[in-house]
Amino acid sequence: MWLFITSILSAHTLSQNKWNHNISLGYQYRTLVPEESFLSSHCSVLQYSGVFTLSGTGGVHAFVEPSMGIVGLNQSILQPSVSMILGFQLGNSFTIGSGPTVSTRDDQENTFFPQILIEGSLLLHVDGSTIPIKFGYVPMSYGLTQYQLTIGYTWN
Amino acid sequence: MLLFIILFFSSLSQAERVSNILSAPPIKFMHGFRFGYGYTNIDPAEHELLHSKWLYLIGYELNQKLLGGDWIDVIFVENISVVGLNQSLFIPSGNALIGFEFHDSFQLASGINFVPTEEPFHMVVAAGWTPKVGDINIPFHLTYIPDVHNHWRMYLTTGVNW
Repeated sequence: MWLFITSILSAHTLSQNKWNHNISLGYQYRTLVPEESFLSSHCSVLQYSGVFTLSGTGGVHAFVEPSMGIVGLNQSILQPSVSMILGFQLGNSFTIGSGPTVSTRDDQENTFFPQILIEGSLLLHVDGSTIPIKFGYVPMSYGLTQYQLTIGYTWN
Repeated sequence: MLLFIILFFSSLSQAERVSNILSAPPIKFMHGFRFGYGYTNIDPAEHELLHSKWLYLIGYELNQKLLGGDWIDVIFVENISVVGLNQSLFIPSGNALIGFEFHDSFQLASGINFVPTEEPFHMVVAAGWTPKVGDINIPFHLTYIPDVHNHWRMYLTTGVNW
């Protein structure tokens, strides 16, 4: 415990880190499983995320992106999910990362269903704004796989 | 035994005095995230939870580097991870390692791996390369966890620390 605390307190402060906010909306295809109440595989997605970028040099940066979202509004379903992506930003244009994503279910015994999310994005820079186009993939687990395409807006 | 104790403590007391013997070497503290993929040599058909031999890993770790002042340093690593999310499993895992870093880039360490199962403790060996990229470090490590029942595990991980 002492090592944990002293390491965190003593680790040097990054000189060029930044915290951005992002809101994205888009489309998700997810396989139908009996544990969920979706009637169609085609779902809408609305997502908010924070993007903490750890600046490196040579065009490689690292980032941590916790996010929360709701899926299925087009079917009058509001299924929340959270995720946390760890990854790398290559230059100013591309990111790739992966991390856990957890969605909720009506099942009393297994309310939270964890999976992994692999995400890549193309960052468009328009008039000083950043427009990320993200593609997400959740590998199949217990019959559920997800593909997601979103477009968003990132601000400081 | 008495002779051994006498020799042990007399060696300490007679050890050559170094000018800064009372001051500990400088320690550098770091922390960061780690993620990667692993393979376990457990047959999923014989296991009640596993559906695949492949396991996704994500975790957080702390590093302490005892700076030797030359080409070699001593490193301590404490890591907590969650394994198996690709199979919707949430298997906690902890590691504590001690080892060496060569030329501020290459690491070799070993220690204890803990997973809350029937046989919770295993040895862990890790080796890898950590290039410094600006203010951050991006580690690449290969980790091997042997097992007497041949249920060994191996992970390839990367991440970021600072």
